[in-house]
Amino acid sequence: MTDKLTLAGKSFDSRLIIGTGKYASGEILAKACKESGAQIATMAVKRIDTQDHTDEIISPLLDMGIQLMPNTSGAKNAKEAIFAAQLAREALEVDWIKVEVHPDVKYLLPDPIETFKACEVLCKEGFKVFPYINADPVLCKRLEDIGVSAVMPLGSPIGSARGLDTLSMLKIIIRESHVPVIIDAGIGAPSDAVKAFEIGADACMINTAIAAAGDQLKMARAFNLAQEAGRMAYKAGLADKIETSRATSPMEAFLKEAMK
Amino acid sequence: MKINYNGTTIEVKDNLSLHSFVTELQLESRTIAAAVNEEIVPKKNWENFFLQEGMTVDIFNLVAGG
Amino acid sequence: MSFYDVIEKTDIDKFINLVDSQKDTDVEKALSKKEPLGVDDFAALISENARKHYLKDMVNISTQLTRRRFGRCVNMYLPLYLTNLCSNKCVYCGFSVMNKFKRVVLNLSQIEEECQAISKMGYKNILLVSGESERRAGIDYFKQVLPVVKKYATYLQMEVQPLSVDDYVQLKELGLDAVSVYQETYHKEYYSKVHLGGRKADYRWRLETPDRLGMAEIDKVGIGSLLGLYDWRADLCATALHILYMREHYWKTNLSVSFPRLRPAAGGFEPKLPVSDAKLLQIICALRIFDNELDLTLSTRESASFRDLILPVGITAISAGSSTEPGGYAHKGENLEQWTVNDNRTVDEVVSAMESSGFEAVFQNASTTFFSAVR
Repeated sequence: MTDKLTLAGKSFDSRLIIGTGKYASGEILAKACKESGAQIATMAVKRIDTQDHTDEIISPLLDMGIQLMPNTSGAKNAKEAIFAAQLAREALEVDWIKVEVHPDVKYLLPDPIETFKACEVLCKEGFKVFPYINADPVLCKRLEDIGVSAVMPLGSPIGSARGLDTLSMLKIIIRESHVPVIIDAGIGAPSDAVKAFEIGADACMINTAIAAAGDQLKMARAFNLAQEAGRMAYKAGLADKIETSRATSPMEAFLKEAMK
Repeated sequence: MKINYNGTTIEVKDNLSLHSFVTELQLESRTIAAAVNEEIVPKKNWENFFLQEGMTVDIFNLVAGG
Repeated sequence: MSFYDVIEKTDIDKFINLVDSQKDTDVEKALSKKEPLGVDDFAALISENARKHYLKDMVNISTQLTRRRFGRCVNMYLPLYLTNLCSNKCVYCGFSVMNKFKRVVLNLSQIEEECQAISKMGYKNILLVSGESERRAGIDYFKQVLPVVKKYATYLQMEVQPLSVDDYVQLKELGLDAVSVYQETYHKEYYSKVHLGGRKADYRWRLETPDRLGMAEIDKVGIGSLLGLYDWRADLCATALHILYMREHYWKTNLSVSFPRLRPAAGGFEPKLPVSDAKLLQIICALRIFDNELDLTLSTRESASFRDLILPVGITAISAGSSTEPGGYAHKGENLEQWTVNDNRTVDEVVSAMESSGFEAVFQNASTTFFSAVR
């Protein structure tokens, strides 16, 4: 397969990234990951729960050879996000970091200013930075300029399952971006993922849509098929119509000669 | 002596290295990071880092989450 | 990394065959693409098959794309020739150092006189043009000229010799909005055959000018080749490559493209491969379809009837009532003109022709700068 996803110098056969929240157990999560074909998974950094030591999700994923993408969720500002990134690097010895800063508790929408500040510092510290942002094309260019490894614009608010509400902005981002575009948040159904890949997204991040499905493994498989269909359609090139209208009469006369 | 560990005050023995502290909590095999007084202490320095009265020690690990 | 590195890796002559080998299906593919077009698609759009079978569709699509992006407004600009002094030896140009004629460099009061005459014509968008003389019309001269012209111009453009990043930054602070530096031909060997001496003989210094303008964050950069000088198939595909490169590397920079056809000038150089009217129309359509946001400018080199015909199809800026001799607005006919104006109508005549076909001539271009030195 030549159509690989390249992120921060590593290549992947799958274009899905799995968010690991809301699963009943690490075992089901690992199985869902396998069914989805995903080779990248996100996770959060938290203070250890001194009462409960059972939340061990990493080892099954590491055994499968999954690329870990720790995130900074919980951070309310740049300072906390930078601290979370450094902790994740220290714990995992992985320099990938998904920068999430959402002070807004209702919609969990990302703060562009704090996110940008955090990314600026982390890029300089040598992290491979993946910012979660609103679908703002100019913010994407600014982040690209400071050296992020990809941009992760949202389709709609986290967990909302509203699909690609930001479609027209996503199209601009995909057209203008020189770093991979990972559509993050809001993808509620495989059809949303198909659409994202059809318009040229490099990857999609899925969490709730699989974790909260009736049959998680079946849904994971459905997303695997969705990425294949959407990507293939993008590669094939969607058909478009040429609209016709009448030219002015001097132009008609000119064209008669010009097209000989 | 008393230290603050992950939000609670606990009693630990004197002259305790960060490495010994982590070992006693049976956390040494896990993917964790430690910060003392909000500064990250790299793993390689744990053996020579000794806790003192009133220090704030936070241990972090990776958990499920989008 | 600059565009020079891209060109070094490109065999421009291969574009000739690329254009000639485009089939109808290639043209259809380029016309129906949703994603951004590549140089291959552009080659299809300027091919003979496209002209014979799809020019009508191209005119239609290009016209629609232009209306969607620019509406029915056309910016009016006027060139102000500062000097015909030039230390270059370009075999096709009337200003070449090889041609013997009276050389003048306008002084500040002469420039003021020109500006007053230009203001009377209604223009506030002024394009400063000069021959290339570092010694008598270099950066120090420009730094004196700009504050004078800026009193009359809300939008200030320059088409002078390539300058350094630092020079451009300084001129931007004095109110410079746009700079055009045309490569004439992207073909390195042929370039050195027609540029025999002077700083312009340095192909690389000229080719990297748009990079320097991008770095200096000049609001708009004009590129293009002199059609008919070398093989236009090669030069236009190289221009397309240059557009893609500029879009990729300088996302804050607006781009404009000109498509001057080589015209008779003092020195008597004849174009080897002329570009017909039909082909020029096709080229304009191809550029618009290739990049919907491009500014496309049309000078008075072209005839009145042809300008009226092609204006709606893709053009965003034109000049009218131009003089290509230094001092020509205040005192006509005293100095040598760079090339012959072909559309000799007055500004009013051009504007009323535009109005009768539903277009608005815009004279008041807003300046792109918020902060400029007050002098």
